[in-house]
Amino acid sequence: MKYPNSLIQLIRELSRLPGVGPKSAQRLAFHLFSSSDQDVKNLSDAILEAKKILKLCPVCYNITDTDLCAVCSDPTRDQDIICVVEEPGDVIAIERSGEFEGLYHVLHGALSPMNGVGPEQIKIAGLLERIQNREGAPVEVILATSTTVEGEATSMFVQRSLEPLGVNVSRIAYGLPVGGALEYADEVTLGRAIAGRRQVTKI
Amino acid sequence: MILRSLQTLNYRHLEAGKLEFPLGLIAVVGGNAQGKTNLLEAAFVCLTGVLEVSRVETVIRLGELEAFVGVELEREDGISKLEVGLAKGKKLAKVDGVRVKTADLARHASAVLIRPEDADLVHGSPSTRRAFLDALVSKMSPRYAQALVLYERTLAQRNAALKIGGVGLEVWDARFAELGAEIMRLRRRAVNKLKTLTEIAHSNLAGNSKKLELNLVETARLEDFQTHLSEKRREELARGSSAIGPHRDDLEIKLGNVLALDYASRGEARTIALAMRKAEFDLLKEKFGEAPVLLIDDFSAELDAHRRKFLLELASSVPQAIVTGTEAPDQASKLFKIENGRLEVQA
Repeated sequence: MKYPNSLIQLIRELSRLPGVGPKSAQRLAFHLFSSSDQDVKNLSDAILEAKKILKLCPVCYNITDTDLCAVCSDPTRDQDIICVVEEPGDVIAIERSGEFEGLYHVLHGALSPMNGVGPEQIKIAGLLERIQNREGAPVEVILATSTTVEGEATSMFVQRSLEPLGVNVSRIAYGLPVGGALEYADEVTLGRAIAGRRQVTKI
Repeated sequence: MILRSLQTLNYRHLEAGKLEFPLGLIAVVGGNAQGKTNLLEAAFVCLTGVLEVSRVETVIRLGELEAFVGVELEREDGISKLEVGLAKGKKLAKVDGVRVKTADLARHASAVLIRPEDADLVHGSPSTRRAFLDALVSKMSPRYAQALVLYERTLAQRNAALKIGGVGLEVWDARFAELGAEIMRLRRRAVNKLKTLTEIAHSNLAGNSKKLELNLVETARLEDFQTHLSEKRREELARGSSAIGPHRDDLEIKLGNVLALDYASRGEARTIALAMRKAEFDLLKEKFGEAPVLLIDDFSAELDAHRRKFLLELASSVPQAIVTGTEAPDQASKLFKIENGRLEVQA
């Protein structure tokens, strides 16, 4: 026998979600079927509500439910530093560190011609506009894209695009994990850490 | 390094079980298609992790889904256990029970496999020689191994950008040139050593009548890689792929001033390849501070008495070597017989 059409449709929709294969989709569908009407309604309402309310911050392109995101609308944050990241999740990760007091810019992707992602597909135009339209002190831009081949290329692309604007640009440091013993680090990480060393005494 | 034992399960038609190996020159004797090559290959896979993904399926016994190889390897600092599990499109490696990347096996063990097909190093395409170089230099320098992985990924992205008319090509160029130059520098350094050692080994093997010469033939200019790239822009856009860089370089082999690729006989090619393997052996020995496991497949194939003697002298000069053939060499200190995938000690 074959599943009822509505069930097949539900499984198909679920399996289109990232990280969900046909088997998980089937399990989720059965679970939804055996859940109470109220639970299912809560879930569907939550999805619709989130979709309705959430949008991209017009300044930094982070996800927000207000006109301006929580970071951009916070006047106590350092308005002169912008940290460029690939995904909204990266903002959360950096916020967790509590080390960064400036603003963000989310690119929503990294350059990857193999996957059809070129300069036009990432949100860099907004960043350039944002810096051009600023008045006052020059800003610093921190490039915090990942250290993958694609992240490095994206970092270089942003760096080059910023060159004519006369801003200070820095790249996050690579090296040893904090609390890691030197002898357990792999050669490549260690090599990078030595190349990117920091002077502590100057004569 | 000494191979203390070899354990296999479902590896081609080798009989499942654990074999213990003594020191010395071990001869494995058997007729054709009895499993001599499979035995050496199984050991080699486990000691180096080298086995193309496309071939994984073919080494698993027909009708089975997974295969396993394990070795106990004695090094100067103790005995460790290396294991490799194989399934369709998958390789899983462990060192002393801890999972590692298959490429990392080469940090714990080293082995040189000498076989008749090595003549392809001379007569085969440039990619065969690049693969030889890349594998060897990766073992000598972790930086090279890392740069190579990044380079190949960047190359793929750059080629994709070239295919769509070069949108955003500049950023890929910069990284491509940087990684390409690093690979070229490390390759040059390695080839300098390899060249000397191979040429010495060759003159010991074949005398000095025809001089052997190894040279790296590069497609890109190391000093101004990026300028060179921009000169090639039109050509590259037209063909939709990267025209210069270490992925197109070749190790040119000349014998008596002519290209061995075109002029060397099969026997000459085998001799050159043997000299290259000897150089590989020397380089790995220098790198690890102890001799790699030496595996010699079909020692007598295509070699005359003098070259056979050279090979067996090499095998006798290390604490342990495993040599296969249809007949046992006189120098063998221990004799195994292999029949239909089953290995037995001969008295």
